Amino acid sequence: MKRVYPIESRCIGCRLCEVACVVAHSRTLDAINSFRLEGLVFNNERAKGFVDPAEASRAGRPRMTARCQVSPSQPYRISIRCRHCDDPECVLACKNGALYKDEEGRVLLDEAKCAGCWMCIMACPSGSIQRNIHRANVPGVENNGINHHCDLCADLGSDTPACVRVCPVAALVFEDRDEAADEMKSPQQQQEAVRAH
Amino acid sequence: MQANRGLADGVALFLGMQSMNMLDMVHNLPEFCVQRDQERCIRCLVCVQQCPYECTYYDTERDAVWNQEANCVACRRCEAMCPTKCITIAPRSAFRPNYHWQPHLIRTGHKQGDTGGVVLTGCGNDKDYMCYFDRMVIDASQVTNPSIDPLREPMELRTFIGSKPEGYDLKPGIARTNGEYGPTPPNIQCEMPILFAPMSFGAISYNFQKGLALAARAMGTFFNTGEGGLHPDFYPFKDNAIVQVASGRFGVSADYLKAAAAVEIKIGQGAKPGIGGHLPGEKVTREISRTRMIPQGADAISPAPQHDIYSIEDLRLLIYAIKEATNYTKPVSVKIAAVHNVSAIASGIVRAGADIVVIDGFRGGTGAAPAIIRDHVGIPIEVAIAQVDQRLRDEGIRHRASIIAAGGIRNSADVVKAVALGADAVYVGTAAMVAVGCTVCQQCHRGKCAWGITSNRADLLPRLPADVAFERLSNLLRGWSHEIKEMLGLMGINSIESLRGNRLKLRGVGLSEQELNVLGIQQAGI
Amino acid sequence: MQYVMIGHSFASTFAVETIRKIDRSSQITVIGEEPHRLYSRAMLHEFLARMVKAELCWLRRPNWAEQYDVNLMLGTRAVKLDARKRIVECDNGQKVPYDKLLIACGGKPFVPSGIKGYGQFKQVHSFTQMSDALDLQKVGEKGGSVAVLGAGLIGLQCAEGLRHLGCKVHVVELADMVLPLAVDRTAATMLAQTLTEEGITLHLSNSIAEIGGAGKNVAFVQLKSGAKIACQGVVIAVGVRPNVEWLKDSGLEIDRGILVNEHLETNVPGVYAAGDCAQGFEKISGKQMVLATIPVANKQGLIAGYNMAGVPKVYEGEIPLNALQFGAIQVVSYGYVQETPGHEALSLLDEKKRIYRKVVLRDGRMTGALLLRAIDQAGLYRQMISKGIDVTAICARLTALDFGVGDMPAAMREELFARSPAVSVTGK
Repeated sequence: MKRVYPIESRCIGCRLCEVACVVAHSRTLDAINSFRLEGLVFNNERAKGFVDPAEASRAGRPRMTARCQVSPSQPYRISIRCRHCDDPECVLACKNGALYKDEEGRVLLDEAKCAGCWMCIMACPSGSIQRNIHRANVPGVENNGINHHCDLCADLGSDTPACVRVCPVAALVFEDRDEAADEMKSPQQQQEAVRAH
Repeated sequence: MQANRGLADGVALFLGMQSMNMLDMVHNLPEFCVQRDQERCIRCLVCVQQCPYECTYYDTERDAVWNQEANCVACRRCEAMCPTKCITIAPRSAFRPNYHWQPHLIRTGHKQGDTGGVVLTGCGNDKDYMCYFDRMVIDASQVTNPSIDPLREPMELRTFIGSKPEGYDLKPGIARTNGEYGPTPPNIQCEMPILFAPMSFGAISYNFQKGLALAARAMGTFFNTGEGGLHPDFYPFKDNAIVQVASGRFGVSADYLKAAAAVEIKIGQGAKPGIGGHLPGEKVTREISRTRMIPQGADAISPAPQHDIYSIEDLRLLIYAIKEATNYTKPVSVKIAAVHNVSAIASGIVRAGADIVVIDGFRGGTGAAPAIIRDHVGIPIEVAIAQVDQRLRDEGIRHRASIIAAGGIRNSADVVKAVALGADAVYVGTAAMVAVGCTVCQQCHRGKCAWGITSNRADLLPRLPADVAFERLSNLLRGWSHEIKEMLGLMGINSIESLRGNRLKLRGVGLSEQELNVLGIQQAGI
Repeated sequence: MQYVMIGHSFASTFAVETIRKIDRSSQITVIGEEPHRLYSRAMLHEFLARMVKAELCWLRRPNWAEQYDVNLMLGTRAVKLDARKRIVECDNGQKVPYDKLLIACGGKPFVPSGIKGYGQFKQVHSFTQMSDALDLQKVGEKGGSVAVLGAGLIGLQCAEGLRHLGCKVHVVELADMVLPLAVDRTAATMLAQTLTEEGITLHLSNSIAEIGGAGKNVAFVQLKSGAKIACQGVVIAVGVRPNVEWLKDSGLEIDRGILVNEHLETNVPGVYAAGDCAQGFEKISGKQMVLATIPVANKQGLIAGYNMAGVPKVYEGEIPLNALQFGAIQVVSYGYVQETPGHEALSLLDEKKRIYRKVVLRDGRMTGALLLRAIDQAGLYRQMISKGIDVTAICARLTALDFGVGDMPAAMREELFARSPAVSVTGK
């Protein structure tokens, strides 16, 4: 399965991948209108520390940030996102089945179902899930919001995810590395993989 | 960078001064303004993160991006990276118009009053001197001497650089040099008359040097280590490397001389004739410290002269010492700046035994040099080449050394003109940087190159990946080679050799008679 | 091949779905004690409070049994296991034969002995099943007061739900802090403050001595301290134990829960266990432990499913982990977060913002982490604890608010982001 892999040594930390992600998921598909008309946010405030959802919602601006994130801390720069794992920890942690793996292998969210319990954030070993308080299904819970993670630009009309397309230094690649991973499995595991399919 | 301001600073800002220190007041006259169309700005903060000069910052309270315009150097990185193109860098020179006291002179005067130091700069002479390249035009074939179509006929750009024998006698492989018989002097083979100029590791980034090495190897030309020594990672490129022995002798060892196709003794360079190289301490990283064999963080300043060369005889001694050490298998090059009496100097160098003479004109670039020297010392390469070529021909020794012209070669037309004036080949330095994205902002000496070309800072290096540099430099050579072939063809020539020193192919436009004479070309129309 | 699952919740659902990835033809039977459609137990408190639409509570689509070709026996309780004959006997008399059996019957609420009047009145409930939530909704809708015994996760979630319905809620807890098993004192203090601000009255270091009423209806509880609280409902939430009492003569090796090996198999071949009733490997202590949380149940179910279908995947074990929220305070915890001798604790506390981040270390490795409110990228801590990563070099950064992927050792970053995750998390 093709996934997006960051090449850490090439990253310049510009965060154009985050910009592209927000625009690709916007209604207007235009950077300026995403900001002006739709009120989406482009900058990674997490770079300054904890973003308090209480303050964020008071500010009145929808906080749909990018689904990928360039690491805020130095000295390394790396753009991370959901890896769409084969046995996803988030799906195994989701308390009501809102997270699921589709036929193409993408880990997706039923946005109307997510209760905002953050078990997925607790579970994800790569830390690539964020809280999206732009949308909440349980308004009785304070600062409720839904899971926000990379969807590989599912159904957005392009073969290649937006972040990969926009990176100016080719620090993101969209490729299948599963074979290489297979070689690391024991022969028994490789056999299982064959049988499982 | 955020607008963290204490009370005193806040008051100062309000009064339009960045600090209360009157001595620093003059720094508040920015050279450039950063015009931001706030309607287009999406507060993505890409420009904030990308600006290495602390010119751009985000105001969290106002949710807006502002600039410290006094810090802007017009590198234009922010403009290039902005996804909505909301930034325009524009000059800010509202001094009262004065042809004598031009803006840069007023600014420099302020700076000098500030610290009393020597003002440094990077890149080449940017002043309004005559550019002879732009006053020469190239001939084309018309009716009686038809042009050659380079897409149909072979065009020879291959250039051999080194000493040529006077002749060959019938006994095979026996060349005659200085009336004596011996093997053919060593030459390096270049697939085009363009080589990469000396740019030291330290002055330029690791990735850029790697790109130069890769492109040189792939395209059949050469790169030059400059004064910085050769990083061990680049030893595999030795067949395409020219190693430099400069006055500081940085990185010079036995292995260094072996890892080379040719060895170049650097006497001077066009950007700062008569003084030595300079790598500011802030640019000396661990890797550079290892390669140059100097302490990390220390300024690397080369002595003005080579302290064992005080006469032409001393130069001959060093040339032959190197030839002995390399078993006469590699051509030895001597690089000088183009200065007064350059032809006499060149003649002496050829007679001292140099296989290659490199002449670097006053437009040559540098990683760091005093601005006052860069802008006022040295002569243009065009007149230098013409004079050197003529003199060596007159003395009957032109064949004994190849001449490489350096210093401000900007495009393939400059190459053609330089060869027509008498050069065997050219060095390109600034043009190579421009090919990989340089905007000639002249801040190389600060080690904060926004394009990853002249800085080895870990966070700036990835901005120019080595494979991208390789590709772009190869494209430069490919593009220029093609253009040169087109220009040769239109002149009715099919070999670069036929262009060398062929002044008849050039005409002058808007030059005085004396200038035409010095260049050895005719006035256009004749 | 007959697959039988006892239990119709998280673990058995993942087991069924996994078996079906491999074996589309064999018969699968699921025996579910409750009559309801497959729902998420973890949504009960939000359901109770009427905070969510019903859709959010169902764990799978309505046609799940049909989709996975499952013979679903709802409202049926397994009462005996004949391991020799490979038969499960149910309370309706049915005998269900199996080739491979998964016991995923979960936990049962624990009832403390010595409460005078327990069992005599209606409106005294546990809070572990849909039926409890439906009953408590009726109590809650009348307004009035409810006493909740136990300030653990379930007790407090129930209390918050009832408060949201408008009841006056009293929580009685034996320990001197809320969530005594899940968080440390600092966090407990902040959470207690939040709960109090929400209007919940806490009675710590206390317990219910007597439940009293009028006729069949509850009217008051008498606390050990002597206080008497008038109430119209009582919730007993003092803990859940593995539901294994009915298996005591089955021949299965049972400690607190059913002991299972790295293939989730019990000592009886062909019989597997997963979820809140199972006792599998816990990585930090190195012991077999019941970890009654959803991620563990699901993973155990998943791997049991693989093994039952003939693919010998290995369960490497898990660590205690949980995510919860009270008021505006989100909490994520891993491992062991209380003060322990021989362990070093590092923490960051911002009382005004109610931010608390604490890690517990021993020999350079984290044995616990507790995050309040600033929970972004929390999973990185799980990864570091699970893999036993040496964090000596970065321990100064662990509690920082902007701790992230960039701080982690390069080898870990490479493993997480450069290598394909196609090697399943359960593989070696």
